[in-house]
Amino acid sequence: MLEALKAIYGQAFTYYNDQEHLESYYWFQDQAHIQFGIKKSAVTEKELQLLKLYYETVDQFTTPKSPAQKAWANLLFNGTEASNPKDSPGLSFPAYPIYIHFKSLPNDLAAFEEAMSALVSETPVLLWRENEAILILSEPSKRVVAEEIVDLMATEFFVDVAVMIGAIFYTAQLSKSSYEWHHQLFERFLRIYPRKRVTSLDHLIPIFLLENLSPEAADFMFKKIQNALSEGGTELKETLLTFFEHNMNVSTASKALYIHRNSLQYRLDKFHEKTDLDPKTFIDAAIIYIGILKYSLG
Amino acid sequence: MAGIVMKGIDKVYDKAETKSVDNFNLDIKDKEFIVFVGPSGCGKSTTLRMIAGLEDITAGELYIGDRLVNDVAPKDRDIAMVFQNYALYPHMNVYDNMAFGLKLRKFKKDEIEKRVQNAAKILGIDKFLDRKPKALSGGQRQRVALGRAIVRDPQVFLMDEPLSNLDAKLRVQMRAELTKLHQRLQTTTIYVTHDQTEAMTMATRIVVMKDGVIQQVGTPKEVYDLPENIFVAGFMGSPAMNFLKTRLEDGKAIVGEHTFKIPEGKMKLLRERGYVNKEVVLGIRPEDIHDEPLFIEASKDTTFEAAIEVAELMGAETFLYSNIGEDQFVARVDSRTDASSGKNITLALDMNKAHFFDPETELRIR
Repeated sequence: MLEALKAIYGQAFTYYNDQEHLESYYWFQDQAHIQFGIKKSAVTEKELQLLKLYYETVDQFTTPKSPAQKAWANLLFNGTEASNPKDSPGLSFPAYPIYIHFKSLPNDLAAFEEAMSALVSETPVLLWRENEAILILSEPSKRVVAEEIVDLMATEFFVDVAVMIGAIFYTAQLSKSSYEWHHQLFERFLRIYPRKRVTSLDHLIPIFLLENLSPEAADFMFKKIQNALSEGGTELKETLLTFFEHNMNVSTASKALYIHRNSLQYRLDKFHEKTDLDPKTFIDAAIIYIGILKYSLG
Repeated sequence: MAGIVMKGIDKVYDKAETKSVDNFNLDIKDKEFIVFVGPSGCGKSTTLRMIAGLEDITAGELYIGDRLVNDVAPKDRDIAMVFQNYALYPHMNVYDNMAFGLKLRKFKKDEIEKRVQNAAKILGIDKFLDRKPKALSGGQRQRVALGRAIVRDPQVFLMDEPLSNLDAKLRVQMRAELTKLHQRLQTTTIYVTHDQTEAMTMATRIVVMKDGVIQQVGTPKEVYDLPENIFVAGFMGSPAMNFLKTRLEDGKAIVGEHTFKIPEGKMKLLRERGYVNKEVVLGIRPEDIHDEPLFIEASKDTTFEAAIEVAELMGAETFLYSNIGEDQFVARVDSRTDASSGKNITLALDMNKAHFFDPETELRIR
């Protein structure tokens, strides 16, 4: 629906609710609480009435308010930073971003901010972009924090989120392009792994590499893996991925798959026979993993 | 409190070739403690998340109480969830951790106080309300996470592997405490686990799932004693049921070179179903393979010699690993056994407890 509105209003449509846009735009939110603005000058009185019928007007803005939020929003979304560092007191490096993708935004944004501060034990810089929140932290986060955010959002706010631990921002330079890479890779992650809830940028690097591979080269490199997977179906793919997730430990992987360790051994040996790639050795496992990923990407 | 009815529920993720949950039908009675159990990827968490409203339902109908809730927002479903991660706020004390959700829902201060104190008393954490989570043990932290759900006084509790982060000893203790808690609160509970022991010990009914499909629904005893198919028979019980390739002759089961007499009651059924002179799978639980002299003396028609490969002393019992025909098996015997690794011993099958499965459909013959 929002895409249709975007097509109708073109340049007059925005998700970016900075101070300047706040004043010159009408602001609404859809059922998922995603906030969008339409330039006042592009909306007739009748259209405004219609929009108000379909959408709620915004009562609490995801707009950057604190100096640090404004500085980071300018840097990440616009690629601009104040010429005088004193004008950007909130920018400090290195900074550690966590990206949170919402299916629908929480009802109470202030409470969300309070919950995040209480969870990560500092007051993070919190930025909003469409249905994504970006927490900028001064300390690195462990994976368990990402898992806790997912569970906390479900138990306390009843919203479903996916979380990506981002790569470190070392300097202001390149932060905008880094943010854009994060954003794009996170979107791909959500598309490829709709059931997974937690990832890190590091784990998405192979996706990025594979998408820049020509189809001919991919075919040349991964054909035998693809053939073996086509024959073995979903079961073989799940077997290999679970084996890799368990750091190639036959005992724990066979338990997770609920098969006898000999059955797992047999499947791995069969795959080895067919492809000449041994899932039990590191380098072959890495190639098989990338091959499976390529196969999943299509 | 309320029952839950699920009618023909499907879940298909975008671009997925197969259904993650396929035609799920279940009628959960008010106050039941239902456990969804199955291996990873079987669809149990996805089903729970659909009940919570965190996942859209692709097809089918979901009722909580009398209300169709397919399109009801999760916050309006009157449920409370507990997950594997405690997800406590490290800089809030226990009281504030439990009260936060109520504050979010704009409860009055005195009502919050009443509910938190009450839940803390039930969970035995009322002395720790001023403490920060860091000062609590793993079990106490999990109680706080439970408390956060209890204070909401929901119609349904949804729990997804809530004990997985605890060590083995604490898990056993918390299992019993959760059961007691359910007996006290009587709130309908759906509990997801991959651990068949948790399922057996806690559930009023178990739902065994595989590949998104319900394999069997029944009380723990029904599922253990009368498994519908080879998957359920193998999944429930530890060590798992042994499965032996068997040829049936009238009155006899032939496993490799060994012949075992089949009790007439069981044979009658196999005869009626036309399995005489056919291949079947014989399922026998480890505890139904005996080494006691008295049992062997009384079961001459079901004895065999076995070379013990490994004998694992577990304390009160010993697991004996060996082969019969083409198959490996494990026997669970008293730890006073004479058997040891490398030794040959006589064992006997309790054929009254044997199960027979069709090798093609994998269903129990009945």
